Amino acid sequence: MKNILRRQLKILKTAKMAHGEENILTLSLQMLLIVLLIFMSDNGYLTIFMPVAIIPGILFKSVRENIYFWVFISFMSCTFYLVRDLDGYVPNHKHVFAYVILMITISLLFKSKTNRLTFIKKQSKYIIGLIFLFALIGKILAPEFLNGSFFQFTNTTDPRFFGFSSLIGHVDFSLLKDNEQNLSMLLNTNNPGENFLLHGPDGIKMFGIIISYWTIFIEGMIAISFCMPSRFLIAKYRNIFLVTFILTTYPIATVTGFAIILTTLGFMQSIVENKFSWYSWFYLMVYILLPLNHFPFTRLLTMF
Amino acid sequence: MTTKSALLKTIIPIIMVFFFIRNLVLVETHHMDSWMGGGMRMFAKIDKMIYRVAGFEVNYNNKTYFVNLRNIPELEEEDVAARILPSKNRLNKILYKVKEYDWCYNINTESIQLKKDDDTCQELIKKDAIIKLKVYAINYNNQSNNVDLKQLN
Repeated sequence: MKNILRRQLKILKTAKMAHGEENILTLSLQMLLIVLLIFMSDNGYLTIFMPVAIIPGILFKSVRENIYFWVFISFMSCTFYLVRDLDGYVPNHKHVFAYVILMITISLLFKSKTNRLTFIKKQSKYIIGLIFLFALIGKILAPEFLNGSFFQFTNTTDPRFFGFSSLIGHVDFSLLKDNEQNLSMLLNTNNPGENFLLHGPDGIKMFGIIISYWTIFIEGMIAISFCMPSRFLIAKYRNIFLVTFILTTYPIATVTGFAIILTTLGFMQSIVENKFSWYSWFYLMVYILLPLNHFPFTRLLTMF
Repeated sequence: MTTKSALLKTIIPIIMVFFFIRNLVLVETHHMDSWMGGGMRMFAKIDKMIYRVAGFEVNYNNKTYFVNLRNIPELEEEDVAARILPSKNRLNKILYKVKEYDWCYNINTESIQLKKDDDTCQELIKKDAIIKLKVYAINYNNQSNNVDLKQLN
């Protein structure tokens, strides 16, 4: 009798865990599909076919967990984001979309129901680790990044950083606008011999160097902690590094497409024993609040 | 661990590494934009396709004119492709496409432009006067704060 009760309890526990796993998998897939619905509209084919496929996927479980559905999404993403990626403008986060879609397709094709979430969790961890490892190597290979001139140039010509630059470097906003206009004129010129003088980079010179080395440090820590197997001590702190990166980067750099897929992957790998961790809640909150990224916080700060 | 499970575990990292290595190679050999091609090397180099200028040179009346493809909406796709990967092969194909259009010299603006039916621009450009497609990258000097264009190909 005791044994039967124990067995029943075990079955109940397994069923509860499986139910938790199913809910988390459902939420992860829905989060991903919403990202794809918003951002996969690079050309006529994607603009027409993706909503037609994705909306039923978000709404109905039978579609969402159908392998043919994911094979179709994989085909579309691989064709436009991996095979024809050099024919038109395909930013890096679109490659990440394709990797994540492939990961889901593989998990549905080859993994049993009970192993899917574990597979997705591990793969998400490695995808994040490799993204930051490549980004880190890219920065080390760029001399203008190491001497700070990348941020000097970018923060004084790219309007996404103007609020921050005028706040930190006390650079007149109208001068930054002049830089933007001069750069635009140079890019549209019919005389390649033209040039212009950049306003304001000296004001953020020191800041450019500090931010460069901070970026190298934090991206390096993310790369190491996410690529290392979980048994290593540093791997246990990986979410702290990623959360720090998100908090210090995305309020300033409004790169929503990359931020949202990174947050989705962050959420997928942060699940512990089929339950939300504190980090899962954080990634979920960031995912929901990311549209605020377009709000000019730093520009508002300069007004006070 | 079985071969199948090892393959499933490593397939996506292998694809990612492939795109990263391809990025490194194409940047060095064909001046590809380092931000593109899945190399994840964004926010590292100032040079990126958005800050590049692609255009072609025309010899007309003993003078060389540059036509920026950004200003020709009909060739938008070619402009983007040239700025992403200005390889010899790709630029030759684009130059061939450029020559398929009729170009003319506008006396008022002293520039070469695409010939349109309602145009006042009448002086047609011969196909062999279109000589070369060029791609330039932004060049920032952090000592003088000067920004100009540097030829890539």
